[in-house]
Amino acid sequence: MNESPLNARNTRLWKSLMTGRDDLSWAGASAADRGFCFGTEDGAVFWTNFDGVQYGDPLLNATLDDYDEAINGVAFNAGQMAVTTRSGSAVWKNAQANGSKRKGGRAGIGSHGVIAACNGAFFMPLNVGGLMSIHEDSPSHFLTFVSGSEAMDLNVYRAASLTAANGQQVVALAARCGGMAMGYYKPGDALDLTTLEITGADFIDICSVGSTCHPLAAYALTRDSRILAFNDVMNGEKPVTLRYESMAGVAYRILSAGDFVFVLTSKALHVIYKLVESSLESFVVNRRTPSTSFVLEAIDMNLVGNRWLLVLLADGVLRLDLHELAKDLTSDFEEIISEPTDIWANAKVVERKLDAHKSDLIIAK
Amino acid sequence: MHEDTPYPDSTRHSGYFYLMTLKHHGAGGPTASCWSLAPVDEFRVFDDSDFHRIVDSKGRIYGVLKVGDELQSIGTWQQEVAIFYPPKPPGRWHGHPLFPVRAAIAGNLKRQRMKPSKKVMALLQDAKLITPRQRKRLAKGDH
Repeated sequence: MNESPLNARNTRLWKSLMTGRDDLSWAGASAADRGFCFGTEDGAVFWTNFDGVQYGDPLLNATLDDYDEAINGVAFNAGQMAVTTRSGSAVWKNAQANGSKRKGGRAGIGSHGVIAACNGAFFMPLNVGGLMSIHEDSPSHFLTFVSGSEAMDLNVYRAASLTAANGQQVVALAARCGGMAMGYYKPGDALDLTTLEITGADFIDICSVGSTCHPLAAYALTRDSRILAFNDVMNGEKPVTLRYESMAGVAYRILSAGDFVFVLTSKALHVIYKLVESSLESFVVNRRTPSTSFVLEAIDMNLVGNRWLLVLLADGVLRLDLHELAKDLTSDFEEIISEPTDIWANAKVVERKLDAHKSDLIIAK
Repeated sequence: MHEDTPYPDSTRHSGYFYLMTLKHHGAGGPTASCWSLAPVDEFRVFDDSDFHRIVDSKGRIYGVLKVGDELQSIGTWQQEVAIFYPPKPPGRWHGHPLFPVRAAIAGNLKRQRMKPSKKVMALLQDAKLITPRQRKRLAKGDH
């Protein structure tokens, strides 16, 4: 395991941004690859270039809520920006403009964050409330659908948006102890989900593998740091399950960029190289892979394209340069082997239907 | 549990007595927030909450369960923060895990809104029941 980047904050790999700022609650991509975006504990959003130099005016009260809650998600899609907190959510046009050009509308429902979906929509996981999606209907009108189960037995915590080879939209959900859920998505339709429940497994995150040959391939992560690698979340095949002795602590996030997989736990950031190698003919999950780890206590992390990883700390942000990381494969990476882990004896498949309830979101004039 | 169950012990700080309510142990319908802990651990969260006096303006107290450095899930929806309500004398306190995000649905969860408040989470941090990092994660709804 490498020394913590906290001890040498500016290196070839790492750069410290926002040093000393203890009010940040989210860090990630800005619109159209223009830099980074940050959210604060008081509900504001602001923008910087790739070196962390702020530009433009911050957007205060970004969820148009009565509460100054901590931003927990920002996403950009088709010219719109969505912002979420545990208390509320909003969609903005011209969010990065100044003053009166900004136009926003609020949905008023708290969520665990927001992602930009493949079809121009936003997906917001609502815990046992289900999944909220927001689509632009006209320049000032958005349709909001909340897909939920009356039994409230599916704790939707994270979502991934995937597009099948035939263009169909797929949503895959990490639903905590309710399992992994996946289904085809059409705006306004009930969500028919296939849920993979595994007794004792707490699914904390999910992300696309990013394979062009296998567009429905995904990684899921459990709270005890098991990684499940699906070659196709919709084909019903069992994923390959991996577990690494070196991954201590509680798992928070899993992300994939190029040949790298990033796993953030309460103790460290783990980087795995070429966990999956895929081609049109094959999808191979490697149990022996080069890997490296960085000791740090982080709150969250997000990718900015395939170029940067932003790691949010209690007092700032660390920027990891993925291009430089790719050059470091011989020096810092060591081979690790996943332990055998069979959790399938406790697995069952459950079919669920989440009805969609429609409401309107009007962008203020 | 088939009925509300009084816990036999009282808290070490204030001598409060506690009631494990049926509502928050599976009989309250789908919107009732339920405990996932053994009775002894549920009471431990209450006892620690009273000991550290994490109190809001309405006299409700708040707590978490830690094993080592890590916050533990205390509810069936993997919640990590509990709220406890003062009784009307001579009754007993009762409590339940808090929902992490403001719910879209009607009923109990919608009324919960922003609990714990940012102020309560700051008190939890000041009492060293949670770290600054854990406070920030809870503030984001990352239970």
